[in-house]
Amino acid sequence: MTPTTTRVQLADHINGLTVRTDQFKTQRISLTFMLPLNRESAALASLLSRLLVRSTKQYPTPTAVQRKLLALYGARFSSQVIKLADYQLLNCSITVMNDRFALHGEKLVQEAAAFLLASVFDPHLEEGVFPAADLAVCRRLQIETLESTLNDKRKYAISKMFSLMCENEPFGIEIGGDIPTVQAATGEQIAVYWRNMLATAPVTVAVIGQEDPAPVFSAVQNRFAGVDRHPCPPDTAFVYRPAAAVREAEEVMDVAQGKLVMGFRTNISTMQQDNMALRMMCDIFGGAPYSKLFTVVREQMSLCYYCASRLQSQKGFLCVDSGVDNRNIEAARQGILDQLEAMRQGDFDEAVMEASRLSLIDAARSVTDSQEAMEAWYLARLLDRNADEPDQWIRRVAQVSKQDIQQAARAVTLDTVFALKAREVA
Amino acid sequence: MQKTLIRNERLQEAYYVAKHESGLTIYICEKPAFSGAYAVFGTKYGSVDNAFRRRGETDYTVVPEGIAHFLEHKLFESEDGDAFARYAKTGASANAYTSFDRTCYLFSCSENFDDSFAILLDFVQHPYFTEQTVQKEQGIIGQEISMYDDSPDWVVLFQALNCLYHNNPVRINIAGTAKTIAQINADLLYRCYNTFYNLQNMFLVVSGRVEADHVLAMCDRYLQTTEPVAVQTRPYNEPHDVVCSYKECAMPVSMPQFIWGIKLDCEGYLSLRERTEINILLSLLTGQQSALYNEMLEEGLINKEFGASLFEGRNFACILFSGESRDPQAVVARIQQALAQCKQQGIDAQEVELVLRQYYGRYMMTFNSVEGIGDALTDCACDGTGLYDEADLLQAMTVQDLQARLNTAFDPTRSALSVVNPLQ
Repeated sequence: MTPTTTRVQLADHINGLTVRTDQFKTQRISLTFMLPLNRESAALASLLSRLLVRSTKQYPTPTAVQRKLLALYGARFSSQVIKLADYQLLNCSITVMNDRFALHGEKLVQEAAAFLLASVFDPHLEEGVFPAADLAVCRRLQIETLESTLNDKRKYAISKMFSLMCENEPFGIEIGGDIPTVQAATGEQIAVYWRNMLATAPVTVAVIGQEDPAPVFSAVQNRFAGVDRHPCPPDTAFVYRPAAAVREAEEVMDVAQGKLVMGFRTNISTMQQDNMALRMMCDIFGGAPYSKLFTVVREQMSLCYYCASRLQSQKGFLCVDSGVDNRNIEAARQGILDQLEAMRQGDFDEAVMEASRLSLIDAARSVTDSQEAMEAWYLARLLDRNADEPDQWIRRVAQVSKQDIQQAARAVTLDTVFALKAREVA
Repeated sequence: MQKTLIRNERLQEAYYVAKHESGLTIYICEKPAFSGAYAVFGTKYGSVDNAFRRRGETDYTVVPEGIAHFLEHKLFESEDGDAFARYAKTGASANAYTSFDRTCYLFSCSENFDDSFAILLDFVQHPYFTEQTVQKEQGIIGQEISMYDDSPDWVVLFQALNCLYHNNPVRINIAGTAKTIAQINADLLYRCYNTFYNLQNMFLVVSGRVEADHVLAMCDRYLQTTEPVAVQTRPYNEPHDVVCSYKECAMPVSMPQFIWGIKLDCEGYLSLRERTEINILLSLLTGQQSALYNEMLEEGLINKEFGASLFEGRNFACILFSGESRDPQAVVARIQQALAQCKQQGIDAQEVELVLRQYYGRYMMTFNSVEGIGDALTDCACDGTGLYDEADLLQAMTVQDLQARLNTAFDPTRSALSVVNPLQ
């Protein structure tokens, strides 16, 4: 069975997405809610995400939930909050073994779907609010997660850079909220937030695997029939905010290796237009082993262990991050900017363009080999003007010219530089 | 080349094993429904193989710590450019890794498999090391080591291994240190390469949208038969007891990170039965459904980072309980209490039934991706098990087996706690 994708509208702003394929041992089902991102909602969504998978009306304790999952042959049940431009996606999913492998003829997929829907629509509430005891545990876990950003210095430095670069945009808000807001959230507020999510958020229901999606879709429709829906579609307007001057910040820490993170802006957003030229530019600049940052800044100049660029397509951001010694930070920064200039000047050949095309095409083709990757592919494009299928995307890769790439490089402007420096021992 | 089909009806899975005349063992799993393919060319040579002699030699060669990993980096280079530049012409995504007991070179791709496969077979068989390229790599690997030095997960692990092991080379950092890698030169690299990168000591794994016969024909074309090399690694005496029961250090972390390890005896690889039983016991004791996990979570002693795993490879095995806690000692006390209770009161048969179900389901998920299958076959190549042996074991497992294993493998007198504290 070749994977086939179908999209159906289940109700106003409730979309069903199916990928039918028999290559997996499992079925994946997920519900994704698109929610505005602001200081308060970041905290509320993160706590709600934890509460929904902690317990349900039918399985009111974590132990009960976990035992049920074991009975479903270790089904993977989880929720996460993902940042998408100035929005956040609350995604609840279950991946369960297909019925054909069940040892006692159980209807695993049907049971798992019902379990997932119940977790979203029938959470464990007491007098209409999330119980204080549940919230206390989730709050502690959330705060510890937020604090633990410090443990991974690479992620920490990138997150610092974006919070500086986007201090006046929702994108600069950390997913998960900030500690004071998480601390202050009440079970009542989260219950209101949850009801509001069901009533207003655009929803994507994904069903990936060999089973017929129809029963899941009709169950979702039935659930929403009981909700007074007044959906709030997302705002996909794009505002380009070029920096007047480069923002600079640094922090000193007791670390062995420093980090240099550079944030760039472009006026190219996938909410408005195709960004394939920018994507290829980013790939040739620093996205792969054949890129300029890898071959020149890392290999030739031996300045860092890693030096890579990545794109945030909806916001038009490009971020370069690297791990460097203090003494090399300035040289690395200059090296990175020189390579950007080389991109603008067209100092790259047909061979590297072909390498980039092949690599991008290969990556897009491999999307269908993983249920998670397929889901992520579609979710990442929810705000895009042209939400491509992998095949359409691949066709567009071939059409990008060298001039297009140079032009995209010219749109890339340095906005913010953040350096995490190792404390010098006197 | 003869190939043997190994099939499992319940899993609806099959793969081939073949032995090339060079001595190389080849595993191939055809997955035509997938769009991609994955290949791993590996050698049973890792950071623990740091003192060895070849047949006919009387003295052992002791090589600098981190040399296996260094060799991995350098093997990508050849006289006319590096392998990444060659892969760039195929679109494959290539990588490599060095662990304690193996070094693997791999790629995944959805097109141009033949070209990428030829590159893999070629560069791994053709070393090219010069003093100049070695020197350049010292800078890059030095940065990589610094990065690991800043990783609390890495630091807490090696601190734990240094508590548990006196002489077992698993206690040595895989990448070495800035000081040890400075001693590496081209001659030493060639010596290690010529000792451990002979096809009898290596394995090849391919999974995905490939045809076995075609892969084997390519192997015939590209594999170079060489003289077999008999190699002996230097024996060491590893005392039964641990070095010390506690070590700590401080780093910029948000809260204390810990590993509590229990040392196991291990010659060669643990048997699959031993491994599976220990893994199931760990799920029973500390899984998210367990009383221990939920009590500690509710009391604020642990968070979602908590977990337990069997850490094992060639000639080493230990059980590691790891996580973050404001009070790691209290967590250890609770685990010990739960262990003692379970040993005394016996294992609950109903719980075993549930955990076995989970184990079966998760095992099944291994076959969801070509990389998952390829990595599992890589393990089989190293430890000599069959990919579906575990399925049969699970069917036959009894509560009595588990109880017996619990009583022997979980010995807290052979344990140590490693903690990374936040800076004051």
